[in-house]
Amino acid sequence: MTINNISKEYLEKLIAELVKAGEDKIELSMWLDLYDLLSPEEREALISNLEKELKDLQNLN
Amino acid sequence: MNFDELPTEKKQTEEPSSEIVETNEAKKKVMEKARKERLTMGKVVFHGLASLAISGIPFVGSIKMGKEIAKNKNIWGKELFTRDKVVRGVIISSNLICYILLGFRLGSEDSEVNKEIYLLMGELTLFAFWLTAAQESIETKRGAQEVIKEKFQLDFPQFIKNMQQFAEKYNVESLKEPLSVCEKIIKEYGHDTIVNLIIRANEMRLDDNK
Repeated sequence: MTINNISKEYLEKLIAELVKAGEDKIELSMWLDLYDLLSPEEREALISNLEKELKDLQNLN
Repeated sequence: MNFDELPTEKKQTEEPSSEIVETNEAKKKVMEKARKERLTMGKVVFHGLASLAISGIPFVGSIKMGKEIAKNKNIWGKELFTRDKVVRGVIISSNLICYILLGFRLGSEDSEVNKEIYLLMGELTLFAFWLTAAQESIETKRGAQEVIKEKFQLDFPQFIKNMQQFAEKYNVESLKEPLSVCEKIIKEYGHDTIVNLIIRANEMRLDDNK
């Protein structure tokens, strides 16, 4: 996924999936609040971090 | 009833199989690794925003005050004694102190001293921040929050809230104390009260002859 099509809705969806997989809802919600303050590079890094975590967790199931 | 014949499911909830334990441990490790990465990212984000607040805001304030001084040819004369000039003087002083503290911080390697310096800078920044925003909002007849958002692209109360959450979540001790001071000041006086006080002070003109 490139930076151009990363939306806040996508981040919300990603966070919901991670919470379902057992992640901390409060911690991830904080990142949702911070999203608007992040630079495009930071947004991309955050999304990539969350996507990787979700993929790794799904692989363990 | 033969208890040994009970469904194994119950047994499993009490004592999870080694496979489940291993999976849960692996999940924990994945989560911890991802959180560590996010902590590093968060520190960079907040460091950037804090740098903006500590250096950018007094800098903007100084430029603004410099313009005011340039406009007021008789800055050292009687005009200086009106309340709005006093407010401006306080902003200039707090900005100057902030820069002096920044100099101390750059020259100091003692972590305890640095902590104190950050604390003072945090308080001063908050003070200069509101004074600058209030002064600006008086001139443009707009709300201070609106001015802050426009000038700094920052929702200040939300920013403080985010920083607090971050400090709590990742247990960043060095952030907790300055934030609690900021919170205390805001809680004690309230955003609106601080701005209103400045506006009222600005509107009151002291009679120079008194």
